[in-house]
Parts: sequence; C-alpha cells; structure tokens
Amino acid sequence: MKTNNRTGNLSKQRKKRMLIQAMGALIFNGNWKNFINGNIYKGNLKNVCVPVLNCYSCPGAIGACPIGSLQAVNNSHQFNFAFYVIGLIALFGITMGRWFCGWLCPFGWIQELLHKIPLKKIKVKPTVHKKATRLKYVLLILFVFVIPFFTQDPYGMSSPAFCKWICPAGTLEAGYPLLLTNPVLRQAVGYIFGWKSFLLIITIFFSIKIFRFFCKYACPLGAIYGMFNKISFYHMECSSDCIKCGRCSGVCKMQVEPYKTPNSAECIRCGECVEVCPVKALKLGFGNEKSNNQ
Amino acid sequence: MNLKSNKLYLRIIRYVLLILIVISIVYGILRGEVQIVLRNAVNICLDCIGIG
Ligand code: SF4
Ligand code: SF4
Repeated sequence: MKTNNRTGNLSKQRKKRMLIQAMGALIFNGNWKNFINGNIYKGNLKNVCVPVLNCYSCPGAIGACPIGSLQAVNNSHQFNFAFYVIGLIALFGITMGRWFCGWLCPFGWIQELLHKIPLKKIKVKPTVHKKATRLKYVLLILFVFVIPFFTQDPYGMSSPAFCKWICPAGTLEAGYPLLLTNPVLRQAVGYIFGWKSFLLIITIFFSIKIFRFFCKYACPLGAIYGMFNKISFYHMECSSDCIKCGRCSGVCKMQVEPYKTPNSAECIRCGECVEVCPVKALKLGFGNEKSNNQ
Repeated sequence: MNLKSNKLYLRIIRYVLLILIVISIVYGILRGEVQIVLRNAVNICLDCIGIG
C-alpha cells in the first residue's frame, strides 16, 4: 500500500514538473507569431535576462539569454565586466540554485522529452560521469570568458564564442526556425552552421540515450547555478532520520546521492528523491530544519 | 565546528552575497549595461544562429 502511494506521489510530482516546464517554455517563447513571419521580438522585456538558457534570437523569445548577454556586455567596446548580467545570474543562483534547470528551462525540458524516446539508454559509470561533469566548467571558463577576452579587436570587441561555436540551444531555438522562414538569412549559411548543426545532432542523440546530457556535461548556466546549490536560499537538507537505504540515489536521474550530498552541484531540484524517501528525511525548501548534511 | 555555527555562517554568507549581488546589479544598470543587453537581444544574433 505504502509503495503504491509513493509511486502515485512520484508520478504526480513528475507530472506537475512537466506541466510547469511546458508552461515555462511557452511563456519564455511567447511571441508565437514570429515563428511564422521569421522575425524576433524587439520589446522592452528584452532589457532583462530570463533565468534559463533560452536564445534571445529565438523568434518567440520574450527576454534576453543570460549567457548570450553576459558575453555581449563583456565583449562590447564600452565594458569588460558585466556587473548587471552577472548580478542577475547570481541573484537567480543564490535564491533558487539549479531549481530553474529542473523546473523552467526550455532546453532542459526538450532534453527530457527526447529522453522519453524508447531507445536503449546509456548508463554512464559514476567515475566517468564525475569527470565528465567538469567539462561544463571548462566550457564556461574557456568559451564564455577566456576566448572572447583574448580575441578582442582593437576596439575591445569580440564574438560570443559559446554562442558562435557551441550552443545547441541557439541552433535549435533560433537557427533552424529563422533559417526556415527567412530566405535572406538562408543565403548566408556557411561552415559554422554545419558545425553547430553537427553539435546539435550529437546533443539530440545523446539526450535520447542519457538523461539531460547537455545539462550534465556542457551547460555553462547549469555550471554557474550548480556552484550556487551549496549556498542558495532554496536548498535540500537530510535529517538524522535518514536510514541510508539509498532509495533516493536510486531514483535520481542526475546521478546524485542526495542523502550524502543534498546540495550537490548536479541536483536540479526535481524533488523525486524527496518523494521516495521512506522516512521523509529529505526536505527541499527555504526552511532551516535539523539536518546531518548541507 | 558544530552544526549550529555552520548554519549561522551559511546564513551570513547568503545575506552578504545577496547584498553584493544587488549592488552589482544596480551598478551595472547605472553605468548603462542594460542598453547593451537590449541592443543585442532585439537584433538577430548571427553568431547564435550559426552564420556569424
Ligand atoms: S543546465 Fe542549462 S540547459 Fe540544462 S536546464 Fe540548466 S540552464 Fe537549462
Ligand atoms: S538529488 Fe533529488 S532533487 Fe536532486 S536531481 Fe536528484 S532526484 Fe532530483
């Protein structure tokens, strides 16, 4: 009986999250008519960054992408450091950590939908997984900060290297919709688009095989939010009631062991481990309960 | 260090960081970074779509 209840709750939690993810994707890309006329929204909402990886050149995007904006300001001729954008990203991070990844990010949601495709899944060994998760920090440092800094022209300007060479979200959300509907842009397609399409195909393939492949190993925004997981106001605690049965680790698709590291940088705050805990030792929230671990 | 003082440190860190973050955002707004964000966000970014 008890097990059935838990399973019911779990699917309820999953359904709730899926619904909020779908709403997030629709709201952050709410200018639907632009998908038909091949243009982008140009209103004042774009003064502000959304808390998720959502390309601002996506025809429907209503806000600015934090990673794109960060590079834009850092690589502009007026400024070398994006106080406003870094401040906004840090504000999102310190309040909710990677909750935004789990509940609102359209690209995270797309990957979860892809993972539902019933093809054989790849189980990444914990040691390999742990090493591979560091890749996203390397990409963040190299492509968001270092390469743009060292490729500045005499006026202090450079290309947003992450957007230009890596970001599969930009290719999927902006590149293909715009190129399909805008013949002028189509004429300008070159080898970079080929390279980015290749990376997109790799991302799609591995997202089918591995849960949130891009989020785990490549997303620079996930890397930043992950660093905040340890100190964010919204956090997880594991109380001394924990009997170390390991069920939480068993359900975690991000390969976290919540009872050991409840505030792991990999946790996207989906809450599925909280649901399955037989003694309700795990708690997610803003509270300050008694706990063993931080 | 015991659990209680650990938690206290964490709370202090959170609030100190929050204050620094707010200062950073306000400073960025005052020196005009928002206009650059807007300018980039309202023009199709050729780099983003892969033809830059
Ligand atoms: S890791 Fe990146 S792509 Fe994944 S959910 Fe978080 S912000 Fe979105
Ligand atoms: S640790 Fe729990 S909340 Fe975090 S990703 Fe894993 S199952 Fe979800």
